[in-house]
Amino acid sequence: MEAWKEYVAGVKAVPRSVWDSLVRHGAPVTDRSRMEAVFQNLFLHIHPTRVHRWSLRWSSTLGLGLICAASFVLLVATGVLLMFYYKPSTLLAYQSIQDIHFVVPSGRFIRNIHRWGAHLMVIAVIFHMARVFYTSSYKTPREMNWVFGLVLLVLTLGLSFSGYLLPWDQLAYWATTIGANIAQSPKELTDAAGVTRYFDPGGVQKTLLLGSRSVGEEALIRFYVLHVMVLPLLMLLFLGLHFWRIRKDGGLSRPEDADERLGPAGEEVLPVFTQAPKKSYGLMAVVRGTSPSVGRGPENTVPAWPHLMTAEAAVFMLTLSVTVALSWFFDAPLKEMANPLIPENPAKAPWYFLGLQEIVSFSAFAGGVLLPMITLLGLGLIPYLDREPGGVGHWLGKGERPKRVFLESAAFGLGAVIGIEAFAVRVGWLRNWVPEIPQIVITFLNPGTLLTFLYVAFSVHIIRRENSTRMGGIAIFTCFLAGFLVLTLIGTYFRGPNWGFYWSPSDWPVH
Amino acid sequence: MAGALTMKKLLLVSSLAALGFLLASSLSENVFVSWKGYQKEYARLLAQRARTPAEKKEALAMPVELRQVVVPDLGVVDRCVTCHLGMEDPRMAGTANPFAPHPGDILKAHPPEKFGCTICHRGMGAAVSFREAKAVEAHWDYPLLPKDLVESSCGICHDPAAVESRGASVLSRGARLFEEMGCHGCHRLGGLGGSLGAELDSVGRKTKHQLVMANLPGEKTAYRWLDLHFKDPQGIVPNSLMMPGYPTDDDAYALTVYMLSLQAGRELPDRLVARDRHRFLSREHDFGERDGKTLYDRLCRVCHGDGTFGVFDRFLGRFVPAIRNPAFLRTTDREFLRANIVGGRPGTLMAGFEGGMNDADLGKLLDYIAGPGNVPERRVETAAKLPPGNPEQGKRIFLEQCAGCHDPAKGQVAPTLSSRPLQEKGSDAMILKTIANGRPGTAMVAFTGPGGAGLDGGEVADLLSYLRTLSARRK
Repeated sequence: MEAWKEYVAGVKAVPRSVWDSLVRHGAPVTDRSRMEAVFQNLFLHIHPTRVHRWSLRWSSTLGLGLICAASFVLLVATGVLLMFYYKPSTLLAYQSIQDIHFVVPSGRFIRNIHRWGAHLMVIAVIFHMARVFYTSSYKTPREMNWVFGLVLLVLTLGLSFSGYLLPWDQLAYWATTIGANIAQSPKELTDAAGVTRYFDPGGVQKTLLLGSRSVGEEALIRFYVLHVMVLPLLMLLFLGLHFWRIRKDGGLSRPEDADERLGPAGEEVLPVFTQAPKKSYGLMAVVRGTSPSVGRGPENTVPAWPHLMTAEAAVFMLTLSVTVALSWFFDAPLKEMANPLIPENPAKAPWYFLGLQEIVSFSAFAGGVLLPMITLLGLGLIPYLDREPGGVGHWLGKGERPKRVFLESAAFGLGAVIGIEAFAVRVGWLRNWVPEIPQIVITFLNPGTLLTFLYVAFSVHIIRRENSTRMGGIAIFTCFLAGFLVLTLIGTYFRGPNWGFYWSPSDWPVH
Repeated sequence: MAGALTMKKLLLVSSLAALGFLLASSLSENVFVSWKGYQKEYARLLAQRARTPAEKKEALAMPVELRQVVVPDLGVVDRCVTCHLGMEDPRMAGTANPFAPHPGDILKAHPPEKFGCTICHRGMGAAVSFREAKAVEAHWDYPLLPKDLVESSCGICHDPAAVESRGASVLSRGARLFEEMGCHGCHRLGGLGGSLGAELDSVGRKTKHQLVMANLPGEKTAYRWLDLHFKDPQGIVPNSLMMPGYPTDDDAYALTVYMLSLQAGRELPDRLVARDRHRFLSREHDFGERDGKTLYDRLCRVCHGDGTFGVFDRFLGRFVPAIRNPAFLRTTDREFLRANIVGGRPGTLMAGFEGGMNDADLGKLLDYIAGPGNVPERRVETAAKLPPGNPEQGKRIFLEQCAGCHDPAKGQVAPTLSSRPLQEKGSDAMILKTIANGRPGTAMVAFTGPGGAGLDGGEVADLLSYLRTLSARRK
């Protein structure tokens, strides 16, 4: 009978015991049980159990990384909803977008969120990169996480660009055609060398991208698979790595004197060890080197639950509210159905590629391959070339010098790009003076390469003058941002038919 | 660190904002949509008009739901009937749009379930609001046609003449005007016509992006472009060669309707194309008798006029050759005329009329141009043998005597002497006779003999030898 009673008690206790086996800590009401919850839960464990008060300051991160992650979550959620109705076929794609727009319940709003969320994510990723750079947060031990961040930047752009084709409207068709021609641009070099017949990496790239010679059914399926499958999975993988590394690298970067600058903790920060520690720290034996927490107590940390999580929720909801507000006021564009017989003029790539398209207008290889490669390589090498310690966690580092160098670089970067562009627009470029000039000369001597050369020369000058690699880094990064900004603005607002320069679309000529 | 309270406030505010927008959008997109209001109004109107209680009950029980006409072989999904609910219901007669029945009895022959709405009316059939369905200031190639242009769509599947008495009188008038006004002179349509202007077989499918819209005031639509362009070609397209200022408003309207109906490039299911259109296509867009005069009126008259006198055309800025001038016909032959008609005069505004005419047509046209006089197939050269000329001397004479009118470099107003038909098919005798006697009735005067400009035989020989060096082929 004992067994029977036990059995009945067991049956009664099933809900309780299932719950206890699922959640192996007490109700999350005390700091300790919440920390335990964070520690024990696969999903919450992406947080530390405790987070430094410095990391929660507004000015430390501006929440930019979180905005990127939040937009990604929004994009996945709305993207999955859109997939239920979208049909990746040249005959049906446009009609299915129209259906989403006109008759699918809330379809218009969901598509708007997806569109504006994508733009927001690109902007946030760029700002996030700038924040990490200017707070020196790429320095040891975070070098590789900076590189992972770059991978995420490329994936973000790839996701956005691959999604651009899917509506199968004129905007999509011609932007993708431009993108595919940029992929083909190594042909410029092989043509100059006269070996395209035997060795044609540009053609191979374009064919790989489009599955055909022009944008059509094959290209649409390829972009679709990349957009909904390959790139999001890679994104998740690298996001995981990126977050994991933050944990392993000792949390977000902060200045060495963060504790002093924060001052004594307020009343809301409770002492850590209210109970005797129950755990041994045997694993410490396998941790190599010094971690940022070594030699320091957790005094200035607060439990991630609720402090960090509230902040995360706030940033997520902020991102959501901005996106839904945009989606309420502006409809995502849908132009006429793609028509290979009616070229858009000007045909423009998505806005974040217009800086490159500006260079592409001189040389497809320089703008499409050479400069992006140099830029990515340069960005990737920043943490390995600037190994000066210190300054981590400060905006622009300590003292007046970095601020001066920043302003100088911004002035130089803006001046150089505006000057060169104004020259190219006003006076012209090599082709205008020597019409028969071989394209290979322009490939290597165009506003883009000249600008790159000037920027590199300027930063070398700064390294030597200031005797500091960090100052050189600030110089080159600031110049790069200035160049990106100005070229993108010119490509977006001041380029008209046949890529001519116009102050306003109302000046565009009668074609 | 940011105060925990501040963070919570931010969380609260942004959550409320997000919630507000989400709620507002889900209401505005799903509950307060305009078409639901129209359906309720329709049910009310229907109930008012019910004759029996059962009808009334049925009307009020009408489900509020999206309605659409799907025509798979046309690729059409038209949701117009979501609001235009009374289209086929005679009980709704006398109500205002969008509930009124379709005017006329055209739906009897064209049931919406087989044709849809947009094949005739255009517009964005997928849309469910009036502004978007009209699609005028929208990214849509074919905006809704105004009521008075809808009959253009009859011409997609019908011969305009065959539907003249069945509601498409403007369309058939436009088609007739096109023939009578000599538009074929510059525009090829159905294979017939010159190539100076645009080919018009599919002009009705042109979108606003394929037309120069910069100078069009007001709404940028293809149908407004056509109408205003007929009235003022150069005002809409600067430097257009189109003959200005000849259609009246009524004519421009009829021509616009006809242009909109020209959609040869459109793929249509066989079941839609009317039998009269098959007959029409086999007649190659020809309305009247295919005699010489008709052909001349349609193809030549627009530039050459009557053709007997050389007339300075102010618009083209030159003399248009008098191709029916008796003096000219006395020197020329049918082979030369045929070469000019078929091949045109490259480098001039005279385009070739290769297509659309068979040999019999060409023969009739030549008969008409030749008139009562005898123009032989090939004129035997009877001119006296000339001494071999010196082209250098000839060039000097040309610059002194002829270049005033014939020199391409100096604002030429007379025929181009280097063109291929003249060089290849124009005989020496013809050129010599023309120099000697001139062409009475045109600006070309006689250059030899009594009353002539005084060239002697040797000089004429020099001139001829120089003219023969102008041949495009020899260059």
